[in-house]
Amino acid sequence: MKNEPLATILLAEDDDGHARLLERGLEAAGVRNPLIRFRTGMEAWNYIFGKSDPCIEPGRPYLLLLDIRLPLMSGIDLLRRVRGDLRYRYIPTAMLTTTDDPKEIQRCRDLGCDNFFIKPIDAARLAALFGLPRARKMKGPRKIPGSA
Amino acid sequence: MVKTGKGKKKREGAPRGSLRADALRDSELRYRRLFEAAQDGILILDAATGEIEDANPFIVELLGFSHGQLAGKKLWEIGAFRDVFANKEKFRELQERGYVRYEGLPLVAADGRRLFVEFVSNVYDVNRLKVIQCNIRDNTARMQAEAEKERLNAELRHKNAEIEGFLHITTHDLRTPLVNIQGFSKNLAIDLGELHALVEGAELAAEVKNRALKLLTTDLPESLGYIEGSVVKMGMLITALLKVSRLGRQELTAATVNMDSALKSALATFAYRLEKLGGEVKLQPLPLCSADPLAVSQIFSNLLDNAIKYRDRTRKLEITVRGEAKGTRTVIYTVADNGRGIKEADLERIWEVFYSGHAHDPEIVKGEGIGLTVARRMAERSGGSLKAESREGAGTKFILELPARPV
Repeated sequence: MKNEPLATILLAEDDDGHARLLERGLEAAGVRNPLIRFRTGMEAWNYIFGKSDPCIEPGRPYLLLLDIRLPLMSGIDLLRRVRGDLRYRYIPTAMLTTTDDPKEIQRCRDLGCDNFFIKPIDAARLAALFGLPRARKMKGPRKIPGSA
Repeated sequence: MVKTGKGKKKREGAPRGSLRADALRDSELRYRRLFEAAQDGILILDAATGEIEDANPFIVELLGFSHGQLAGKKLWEIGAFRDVFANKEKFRELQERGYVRYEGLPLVAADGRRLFVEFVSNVYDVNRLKVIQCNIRDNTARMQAEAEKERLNAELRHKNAEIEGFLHITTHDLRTPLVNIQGFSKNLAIDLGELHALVEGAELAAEVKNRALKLLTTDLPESLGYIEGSVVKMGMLITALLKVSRLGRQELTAATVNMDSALKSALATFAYRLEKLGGEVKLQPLPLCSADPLAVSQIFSNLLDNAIKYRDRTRKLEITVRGEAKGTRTVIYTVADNGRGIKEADLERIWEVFYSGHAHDPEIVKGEGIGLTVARRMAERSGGSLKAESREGAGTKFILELPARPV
């Protein structure tokens, strides 16, 4: 169990701030999984479907976090392609969005996304929902000076 | 003077009794006047040949062909009718069916004007000869007005969709930077906490330490507090705008709505609040209507919420809900309260997004400011309307019109 590699988080997010917030949030929540960020849907697509170097490695665990509104290829298009591909359809996937549009949520559910997060994202909740292992020591304001 | 084609009708019977002849002449004169004064065009055709025997002044005026140009010609020889009767099939229809009615028949006047007429024809016997009488009513203005109305409606629908789409994209785009402000100010607060702890434990010159601690505990948290408060406010405004923009994209169904039960379920959510503040809702039996059941209960919920929110605290709140049919196609519901009422000057503004009455009154809990906007949009999208009448200090009455249930 201990030797099982940590899933690599593939984050498709065009907004630098949103990406950084999530990264920091995960870090603060004690998540130690490696994270690769893509700025466009196309970049993420090329990585997943082996068109870029480096690219996805067969047999390794991954977790996909897709912003819905992405340039070049939307998160929904990306989700549809991933779910339509026998090799990748089982990658756990969550959609990230700025609004709680019920139509959009339904569309993503229909396409088979596992979770749906409305920004700002509660990183601790995301980690819990996907069962990401978390380091016990948490960075945060409650840290008592001199205790470590 | 208009001549009668072959003058059959003019042939007088043997003048055996001059009284009978006079009566006949009177009668003929009466019908002649009717023919000449009619505000519809009338053509008399020979049913066998299609030849025009007579045309009244109105049709002469309408088409711009003289009586001479019309009389004696076959229907399809006249420019105005050429397109319609060219293949004679339509004429055969007139001959055979006895009664024919066309609506919106296109004709061309002598000067090229395009006309739309209602064309009604009857076949009957005159002295064993078959005659076709054609009545032609000019509906051009009406048809043009209808076409214009339809065009304007389509334009309005298009513009509405455009605005809603714009609103949808804008609100989406506005939330993107907001998420950053929200998230990074939260991070700032966390970092500030950590920094505070570090400074407290650090060995620093007293002056520096005091200053740093003041910044960390007073000035910086104050700035952050204002940023966070404003972000929350802005988030609420954007969420409200999003809700309004979604209204237009929401598909509404048309079903028969049992208003009594719709209202009772809307009231159930207010029961606790009403009981607590001692308000009373007087409910009269309501007629059925045809609308989207969810939209209707949303409208009533918003109106009831409004009545409770803007109640007059010096008297017991009373809300009266009534309903009645208005003609066969519309039903009217009213929700009347004895609340604070609305100043006449503000009566139109209450429908605006983010308008809130009594905004500076601490007794009024400020909501999203979209309740009435949403209610009116829903009424309009259901094919109805929502209006308000009010007297300041006495109360407000909302008047909701919806399509009646089709019989």
